[in-house]
Amino acid sequence: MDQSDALQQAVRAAISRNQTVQPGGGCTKGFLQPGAGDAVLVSTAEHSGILHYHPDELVVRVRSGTRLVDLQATLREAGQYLPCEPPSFGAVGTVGGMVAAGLAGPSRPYVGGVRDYVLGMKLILPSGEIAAFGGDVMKNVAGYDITRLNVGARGSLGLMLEVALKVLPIPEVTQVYGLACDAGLAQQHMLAQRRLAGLSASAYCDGALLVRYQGSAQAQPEFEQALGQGFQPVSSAGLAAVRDLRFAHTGHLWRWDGAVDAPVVGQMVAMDWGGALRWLASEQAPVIAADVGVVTWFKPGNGALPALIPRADGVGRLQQRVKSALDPKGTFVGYPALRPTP
Amino acid sequence: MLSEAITRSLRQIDDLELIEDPSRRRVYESDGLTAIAQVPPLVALPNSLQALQETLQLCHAHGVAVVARGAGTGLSGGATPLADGLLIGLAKFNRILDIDPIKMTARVEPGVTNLAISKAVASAGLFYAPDPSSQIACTIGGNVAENSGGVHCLKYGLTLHNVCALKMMLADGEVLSLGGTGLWEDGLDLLALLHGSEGLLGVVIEVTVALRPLPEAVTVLMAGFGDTKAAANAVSAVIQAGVLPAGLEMMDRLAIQAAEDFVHAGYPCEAEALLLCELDGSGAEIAALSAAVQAVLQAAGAQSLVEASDDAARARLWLGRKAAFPAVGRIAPDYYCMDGTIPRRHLAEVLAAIADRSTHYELPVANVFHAGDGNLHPLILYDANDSDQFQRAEAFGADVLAICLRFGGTITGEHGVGLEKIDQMCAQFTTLELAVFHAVKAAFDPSGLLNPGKAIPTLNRCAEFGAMHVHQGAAKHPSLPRF
Repeated sequence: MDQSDALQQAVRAAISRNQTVQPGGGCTKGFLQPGAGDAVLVSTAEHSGILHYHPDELVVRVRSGTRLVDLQATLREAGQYLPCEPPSFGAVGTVGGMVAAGLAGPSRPYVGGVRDYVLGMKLILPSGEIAAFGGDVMKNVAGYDITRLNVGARGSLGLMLEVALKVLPIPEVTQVYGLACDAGLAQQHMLAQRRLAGLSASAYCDGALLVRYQGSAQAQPEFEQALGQGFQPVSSAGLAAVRDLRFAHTGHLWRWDGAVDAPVVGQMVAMDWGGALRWLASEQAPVIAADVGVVTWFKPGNGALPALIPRADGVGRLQQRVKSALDPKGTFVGYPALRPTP
Repeated sequence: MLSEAITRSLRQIDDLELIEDPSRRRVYESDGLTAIAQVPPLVALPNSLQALQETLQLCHAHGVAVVARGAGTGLSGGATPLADGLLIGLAKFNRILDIDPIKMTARVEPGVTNLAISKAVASAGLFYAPDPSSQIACTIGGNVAENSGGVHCLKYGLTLHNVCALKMMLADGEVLSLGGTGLWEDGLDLLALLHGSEGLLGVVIEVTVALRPLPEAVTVLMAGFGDTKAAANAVSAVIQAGVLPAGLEMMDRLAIQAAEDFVHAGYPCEAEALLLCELDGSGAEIAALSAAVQAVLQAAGAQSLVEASDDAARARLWLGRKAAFPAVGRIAPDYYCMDGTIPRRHLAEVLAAIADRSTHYELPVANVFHAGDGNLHPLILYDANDSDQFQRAEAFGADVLAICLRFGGTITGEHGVGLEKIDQMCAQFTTLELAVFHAVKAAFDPSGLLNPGKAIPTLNRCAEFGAMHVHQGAAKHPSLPRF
């Protein structure tokens, strides 16, 4: 149902009261905005519905409050899917939440992330007015890419009303293979297997390397042969658990993003994206050489929140200038501070 | 003009070649949009990053605007010089710094040509996917600035989807690295924002591109159709069948004829529309894939169907498509290349509307179409020496962009706005949306010194443009020389 007017009124009411707005949908990923405690939640949960879907153009436009599971079911009926494979933290998660979080699943290195599949967006700006950027077409270079700037911005630049996405045909075959091994050996395999045709996931968790084939039935035997000894077909449950971050951990969950060939470190609970993403669990910030990757806080454990600071480098300062330029009065929550104190 | 004091200061910078001689400066007077020409008052060719940084710092300190330029192959005037600004050529930054066959990345300087990357990594079994038609000459820095596409975007994406990281200098010379060492970094996605920013936000000084393994097998299908609607339906049918071709191109009758007369690619000249469908994959799957797509094309009413699976035959079929622009250039003294994207379901209506305008303006049009992703290139034929034809071609072009917008498309799919389409930006975006663009620009370049006057119109300019629409019959945007 179209709730644009109500959402716009809610944002304008907050502006008039000098309150900060936290856009939300199903609120399954609230942990992504740890500092937004006193902000007013403006929820898109009722603002749902698929506006148009043209399978032969590989484009779908939805209202932001559309549940991800509903969109995925509609796409599946037409033999298509969202290649960015967003994690699910509950059935009420929305498409707007997927875009605002910008979290991509295990397929990220092979087919791209959320921003690679977002084509256009309509949103409520910090002024309370409604604007549209991008469109429903794959190629569009008119104006700066405000659409993709909003992907992963965690609601800091506006409240999304509509999102247009590129979708793809579901591959003929999807099969996960597992190999029991230690993390060091898993990384060696990950590096050696990067070029395999049809590779669409390579993750390590609970003592098992999980690699996924997606492609034609004809090319599958080649893939299996190239994997080599020891790999067995397994269910996709283990990979789904990595995608949805269902790890047993009591400490805070930290993410490390860096080079695939950087050494494996302690405190690691899982490795994804062929080694470019590592999940670490610890109460205190893990200390890892900064030249090969960056550690950021992701999700709370049992203990108190650790001390976190915003990015202080030149890029961080520029990001802050962009936020200030687009939201000078601070209508929307800021991007959270995620870096551990040095 | 630049002041003598600025020129003197620039002469002091080490590793900076200055071109002051007027005849040598003239080489830089335009990019691929040759009808807008402005001889730059001074050209600077830095030979080191330090020289580039000092140049930017000096210009910033003195409020001198700069235009950074790669190979100057852009089609929208994004690299047109300023009458009172410095043109900085980045051609000397042409080294491939690092190729990592394990990570499948290449780190290159901005002046490296698009094709040079694929050539350099071919021996490692890799390639760089985006392939704009100017790939032998266009540079990767320019590709980032324009978010360049090509014929393989449907499957492999635009420049944006194939760049992992880049280094840039802000207008004041500050160096920033975007993209991190992994696949995600915290904070706003400025890496995405830089793509297609047309040199207004920063000067790209290094690009790390993602490479892909060369496909084991490639085949090209060519199908002729009795009308463009049948060809458009065939494109839909291929995608409905769950196939994602590496390339899917359409040409209309005039484009087919021109290409065939020019390069003798073996195109069916009786066809009203031609589809070229490139499929790639492993050796084990390509035959079945090709058979499946051939069946779809037959069912969609293909009147002729040819498969080219060896390198020479494939090259011949692609040659016609890749030579379509110069081929059209042979049948008319001049052509104006448009670049709109539309939702493909409206293709037949859009082509009919374009044909209607062609009749109205009495100028022929040939259509070349990246059919897979809806990116249409109508080529309007005219004679620039005939001022009446020139004006009609200009009006026709503006109408084509308006048609694209009317059917839910965009005024530029891959060529950029530059100077050429700056007025049409006022039609695609509201004042509010344009203000957002200006805010972004101010965050990056508060002094407005990087490539001013391009890509994003001022609100005043749009007010004038709108007013001109009201007064029908008046010459459009007289302040702007076109073509």
